Amino acid sequence: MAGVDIVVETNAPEPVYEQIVRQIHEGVKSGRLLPGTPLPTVRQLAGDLMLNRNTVARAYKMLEDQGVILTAGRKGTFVRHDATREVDKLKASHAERAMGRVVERLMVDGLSRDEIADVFKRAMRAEGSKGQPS
Amino acid sequence: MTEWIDFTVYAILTFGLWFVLPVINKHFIVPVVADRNPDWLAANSGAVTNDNRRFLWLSYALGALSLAALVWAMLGARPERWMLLRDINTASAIAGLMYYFGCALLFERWLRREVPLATRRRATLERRSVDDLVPRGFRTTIYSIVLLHLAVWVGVGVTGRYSTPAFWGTLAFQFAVAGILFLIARVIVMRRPGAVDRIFGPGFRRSEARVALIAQLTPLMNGAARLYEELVGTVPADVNRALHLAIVMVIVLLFARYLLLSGGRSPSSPIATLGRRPMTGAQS
Repeated sequence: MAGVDIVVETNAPEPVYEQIVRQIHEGVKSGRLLPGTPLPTVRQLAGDLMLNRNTVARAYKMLEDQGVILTAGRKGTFVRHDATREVDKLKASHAERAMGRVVERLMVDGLSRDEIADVFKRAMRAEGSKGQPS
Repeated sequence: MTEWIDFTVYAILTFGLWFVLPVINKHFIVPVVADRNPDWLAANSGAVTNDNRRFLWLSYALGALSLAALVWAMLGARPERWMLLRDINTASAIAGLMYYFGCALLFERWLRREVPLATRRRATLERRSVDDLVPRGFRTTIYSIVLLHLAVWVGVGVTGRYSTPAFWGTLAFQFAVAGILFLIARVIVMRRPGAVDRIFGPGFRRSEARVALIAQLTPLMNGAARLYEELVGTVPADVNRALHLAIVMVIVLLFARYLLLSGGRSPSSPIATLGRRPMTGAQS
């Protein structure tokens, strides 16, 4: 657990509370934030990041709604035991939504389902060959 | 003859407070600004003066005045000389506290006005808890003693066994001091990691928390003496004097520890290694 840091950029296009949410997702996904790990209080994290408490509270609320963290009254906030599964589900649903938008757009452009599947396969192959020695 | 002991203890505190502390404190200006915004510091290094002469000279002047008053009290042929020395030291210490508090406020004001917050900031996701810094048993013992002390005061008040009209004021003072010291201990646990942690190392917060906890016992010595006066009668002058000296010596010892932590001028001292340690707060 020691050494898990969070970095925010206040002038980035991504809102600060979303940066916090994303980095906690990444921590959970990578196994650096294990189930049951206590998280800092809203006051502590807001103070350390020199942010308004509402910003951190909003991030924590979002993570709580997503089922990634659990606030247990005065005991504090913890990573939920099923946080990894919840993060995976979130990422899958996010990917589905993104793909759905792309497919919709391509169909508007007149591509058939088979053509879209073909384009997708080619794109995946191109992505897979990136970084490989030619 | 023994008044030389009082004089020596008070003179050491006065010297440390007015002559040594300001010199050390000026080394904190740059790291504190770097904590807030390292990019701004890099671009405006000229605006951050690390040698605030007015601040130093005023400290030295007030220190010289305090020392001169102590010498004057010591060399004159006066009855109860230790009381005069004690009162001069108390006045000097209170003036010192007010002076440093004022300087800290001015610096904070300048910092907030002139130095914008860094856009890139880092924090740990590790929860800070008093349990990690001070063993629960140790804490329970200290707080039990403090609560017992306050309960005895309340008990004496409720049963009407006090003997001076100043009793309730003193009782309120006991509660106020205990409350302030309790809050200080809480703030130490919660405060943002920054320059002092970089300078003194990762164990600083732990020793700071322990010192703050032990400090909660110091007003109890005086409180017990005042309670004795309420219940039994005047505390013998020697006991009063010894109590006051003991409190000042504790402060001097804590001060010496702080000096040892902050290091001298050797290249390996923590002060000299500033800037070579990783940042924990804002970062570029």
